[in-house]
Amino acid sequence: MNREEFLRQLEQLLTGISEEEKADALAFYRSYFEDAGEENEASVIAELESPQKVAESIRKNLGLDKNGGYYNTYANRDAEYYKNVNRTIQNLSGQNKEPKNNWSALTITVLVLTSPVWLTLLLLLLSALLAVAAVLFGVAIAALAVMAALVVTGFVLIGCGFASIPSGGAAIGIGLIGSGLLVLALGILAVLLVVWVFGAFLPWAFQGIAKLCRRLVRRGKESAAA
Amino acid sequence: MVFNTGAALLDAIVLAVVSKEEEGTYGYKITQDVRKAIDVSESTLYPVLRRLQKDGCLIVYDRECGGRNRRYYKITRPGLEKLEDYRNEWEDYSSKISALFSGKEFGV
Repeated sequence: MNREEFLRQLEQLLTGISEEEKADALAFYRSYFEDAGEENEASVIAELESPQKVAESIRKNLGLDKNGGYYNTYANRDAEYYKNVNRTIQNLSGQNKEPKNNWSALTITVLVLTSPVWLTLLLLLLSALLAVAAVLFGVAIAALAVMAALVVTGFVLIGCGFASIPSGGAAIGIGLIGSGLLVLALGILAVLLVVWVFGAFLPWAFQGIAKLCRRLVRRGKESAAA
Repeated sequence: MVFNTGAALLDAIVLAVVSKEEEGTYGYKITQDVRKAIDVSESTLYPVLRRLQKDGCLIVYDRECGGRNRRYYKITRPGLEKLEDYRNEWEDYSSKISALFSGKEFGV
């Protein structure tokens, strides 16, 4: 027997299984022979024993379900058939659904009964969060106002200084300009501080909080799964 | 070989052989490599490869080689996870058997 004969016989022996399975198996063994090379053809055929044995191993595998149990493999049925059988068995036994429903009903009952406690806690938590947000907002507004006041005062003082040099004397004018520059410097420092807080610190803080929350949620899920 | 190779062990060996090749490997080579370790009939390897493919542990692709298409098998991420499980199980199993054979006391 040569390899063409072997493959032809195998093809005949695989009639009845799905076309896809048949094509896949034949392609595998064809390329197996090609990779073994002509010089090994006889030894490969000897190793495979017979087309009957190869066909039997393919059919057996198609009748094997995922749990390792065997179904009757004599009938000319394909893998789809066994998938349907498995599905039907699962549907008939219907064991998967009921415990789940029971569990969720229990959960709902517990949630409703304990609602006075956790609703209060939830509201408390929400109002606390709201208070913190309001305080933060207030602080931010105050910081912006202080910053603006410092800058404006600085400019006004410098302007007054220049204006008073010709009328009131150089000493007062230079004094006013000096204090104006000082206030302006403070204002610029405040601007830098505000820019840093809004641009760098707040995003960093929010990211940190978000990361913490995510970690808590993940840990919660893990302990629920375990 | 006096010991039988069960379906799970065969799956594990095939996954280990395929996982060694980053680009994947082909049926004939897999068979030769598996046969270096265990004495197994050539006709048993195809059903194992097909099953692992259906379970999503291996993917199949064709690659041009010497004027024809050669079918390559490559391990997937679920396949690697499965292999890791098998490795751990084997470690546990084989160490207990070895301890028993060597006559040492082990976990009571």
